[in-house]
Amino acid sequence: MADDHQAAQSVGIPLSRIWFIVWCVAGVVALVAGMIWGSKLGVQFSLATLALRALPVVILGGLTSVPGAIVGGLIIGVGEKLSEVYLGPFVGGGIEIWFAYVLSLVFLLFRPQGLFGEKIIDRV
Amino acid sequence: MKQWKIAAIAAATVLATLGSTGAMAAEQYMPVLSYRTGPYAPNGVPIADGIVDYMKLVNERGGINGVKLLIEECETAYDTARSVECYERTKAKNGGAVAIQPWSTGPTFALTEKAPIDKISLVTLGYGRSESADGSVFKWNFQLAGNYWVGADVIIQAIGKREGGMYKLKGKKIALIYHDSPYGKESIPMVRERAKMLGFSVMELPVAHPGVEQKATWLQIRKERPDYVIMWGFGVMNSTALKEAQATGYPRDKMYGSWWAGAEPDTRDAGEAAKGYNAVALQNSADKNAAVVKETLSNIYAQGKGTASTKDEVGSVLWLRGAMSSMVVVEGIRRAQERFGKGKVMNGEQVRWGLENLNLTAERIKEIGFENVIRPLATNCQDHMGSYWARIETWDGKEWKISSDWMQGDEQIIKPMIKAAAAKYAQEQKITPRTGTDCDS
Amino acid sequence: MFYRENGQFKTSYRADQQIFPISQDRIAVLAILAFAFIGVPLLASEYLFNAILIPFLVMSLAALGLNLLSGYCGQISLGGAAFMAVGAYGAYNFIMRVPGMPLPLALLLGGVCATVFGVFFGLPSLRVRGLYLAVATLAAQFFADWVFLRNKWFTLDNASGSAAAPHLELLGQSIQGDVPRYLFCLTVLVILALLSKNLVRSAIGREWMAMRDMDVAAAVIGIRPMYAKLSAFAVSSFVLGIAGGLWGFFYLGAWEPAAFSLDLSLKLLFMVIIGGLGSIMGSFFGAAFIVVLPFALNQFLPWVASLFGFMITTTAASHTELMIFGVLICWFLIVEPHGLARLWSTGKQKMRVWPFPH
Repeated sequence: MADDHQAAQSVGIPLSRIWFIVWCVAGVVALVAGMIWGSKLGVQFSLATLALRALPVVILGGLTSVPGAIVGGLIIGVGEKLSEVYLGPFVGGGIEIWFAYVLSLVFLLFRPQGLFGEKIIDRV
Repeated sequence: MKQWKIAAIAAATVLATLGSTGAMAAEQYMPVLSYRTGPYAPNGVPIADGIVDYMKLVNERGGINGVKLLIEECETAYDTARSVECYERTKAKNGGAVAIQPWSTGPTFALTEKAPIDKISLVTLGYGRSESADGSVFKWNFQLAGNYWVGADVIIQAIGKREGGMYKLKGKKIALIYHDSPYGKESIPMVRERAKMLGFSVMELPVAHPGVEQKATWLQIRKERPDYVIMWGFGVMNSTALKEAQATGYPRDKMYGSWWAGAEPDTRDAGEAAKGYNAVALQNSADKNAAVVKETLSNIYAQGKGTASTKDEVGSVLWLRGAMSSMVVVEGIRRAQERFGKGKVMNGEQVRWGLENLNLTAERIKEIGFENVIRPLATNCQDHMGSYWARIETWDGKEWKISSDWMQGDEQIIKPMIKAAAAKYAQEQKITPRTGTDCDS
Repeated sequence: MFYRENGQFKTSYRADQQIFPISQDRIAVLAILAFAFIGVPLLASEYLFNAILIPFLVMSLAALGLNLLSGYCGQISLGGAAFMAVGAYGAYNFIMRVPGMPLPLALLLGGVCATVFGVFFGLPSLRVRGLYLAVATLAAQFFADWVFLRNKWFTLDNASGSAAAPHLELLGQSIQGDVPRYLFCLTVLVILALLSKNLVRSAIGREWMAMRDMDVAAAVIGIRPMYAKLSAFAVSSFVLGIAGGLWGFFYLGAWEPAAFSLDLSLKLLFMVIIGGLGSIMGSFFGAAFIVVLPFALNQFLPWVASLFGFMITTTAASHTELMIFGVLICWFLIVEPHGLARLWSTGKQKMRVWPFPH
């Protein structure tokens, strides 16, 4: 379905049902993530800004790979904090807001498929 | 636009038929910009409740020499564009607003440019730009009761006192965790100045908005082990910091927060874990025994006309701060009435004069029920702050209590800093500072 | 019956190529412009200027800029507010540091700064597109946030990191009042909208649309991707930079870096999507929807509540407004994914054959 909607439909894959299942699963996984964060640090509406960090994670790990997402998450999470502690003081601090995104930007320029993704990426 | 006009006409007719007491003669219009929704709602709700409750109390006491207050709340959700819209919508209604309290840094900056044109005083108790305490440049800004430089100085004095003398701070390490925004950065000049004077080193650690991510910050603190931590946060940053401090094992009693980091919403979550955490108090801490609190409970809440959803909120830190802010504006209007006509509705210029010539004595404070909440305050043309005093409050696990005597921010340091920053602003905006006869207008 | 091209023959290529070939369209647009320039200043109240009209104009310009990039060239950008910030801070620095700099020149130079920034952060578009490009532009957004917070040079070494616009003057006359500010923003908007419309009808615009539709095919027929994409980023960031300068100088007056945060970027994207991707008219519709609707709802809800006899608190009104707003956006995108501009053009098409159904 990610490759070609029409081809999938013509083979008989029920698009709506699959989408429904995918969104439900994604929602449940996000719920678990939120619960883990919330149990340690409390839940507020501003958690939404944290969730945006998921995009660099999947780009780093590769959009088509689940282990890639896990590895990407670890790299971004740990890398952010370490960069803030060790690189931050040289530039005045506060670099963790853009570290994840700039790292994914660098990856996009040199290895768009991420660490574990499939090599076929819409390159121009 | 047509729909809005129809809605406005319909609303006016409905209000008229409902027989409300709006827009009647001899009522002073007081719009209240509040943020009961949005990211800082837990702080905004008690402040707004305090403001409105005190105004209701004033009305119940008979108004300001007979002039009752017409209260109208406008929701800003802590958003600058909405605050500006609220300001524009309410500034000319019902005879005109005379004083606006934006309660947020973004709108304060935006409205500082607009308020002088509209002749409305901008009252910003303990927030906004620290240099707006200089009345000769900021004619329409009133940063009453204290500014961030006073707060930072009092914190450092408290730390010094705890160490056994300001000179004992030499060689110590103090970390400054601040919210990465103009609010947080206001603390830096004062702390740096004191560090230069007293010889302690400062670790400046910015925390990105909204402040939920402080793991890196506290990793650095654990690495460096500063002797004290000054926390200049707001909202979720405060409760996160306390939880992180607990996780890394940093003693909470060595943490000192600003007055926006020292209220119940910040420490309630952590509860016992935040015991010993200190903050500088903008004159008041929580005080359920204050006369004004008791009066509000018996005269307003007993009749079911209270604004807060629970009685417990009355007397909390932020409720009292809101009530205090209302009180200074009311006293400013009263002072204006003394000169321009008792029992008459005041306009913007008159109230500005009143706020600029405020003289809140100890007897008057006791009369209105704010004894032990606020110290005597007196403003003049050059000084729109009125008081350089503050105290330290401490969370004991269940509530905030004053834990120190009154301390005075060192005027020798703060006044020149305010003057220099105000002069810079005046030069940029091409404003000539007021002197002499202009001050008496 | 009334809205048709019958009898309107064009006798020159120039007449055939005009933006509004149907004379009813031309008359309507001129009438709207006349009303906007002359009628509104006479009729509107101060509140309308400051709270609705000026933000609407500036946001329309910003949405226009983003539409050029995302709608016409197909490059999804979540960094719109960062370009606006660069424009605003650029204009601020030029006007404060260079004595005697005229305001329009400062705004233009701010736009140029935004162009340089935009081209630099548009470089990833040469390698990736779609979701990946969105993340790359997010990097621009957060990086700009951080730079303006951290680096005091941009705010003239101000302690608090905020910038306060100087008194606005044009040719020695103060334009600080409501009507002059409104007219200045309107003029800038009209000029840039006209230039953009012509740009998208020209060869460059067609190159952009070709890149949007099928970039491989476009490259095959000889359109150079680098020039097309980077020119889109350049023009779009220029317009966004000027919009940022207008937002900071003419609407806010004084601002802090949080005024140009991710929220604003997302708002711009919503405006462009709801208004209609790839349509100049759509930018205006989208901006009106996003800017005006929350305030209209805010006024409307207490009135509706009072019809039913109960008072609605400000909190409840604010929450309901957010909910309705969200529902409207979702509903809109389901009903008409091509945006308000498509509804508008469908309406016009129906008008052309009215009273016949087809």
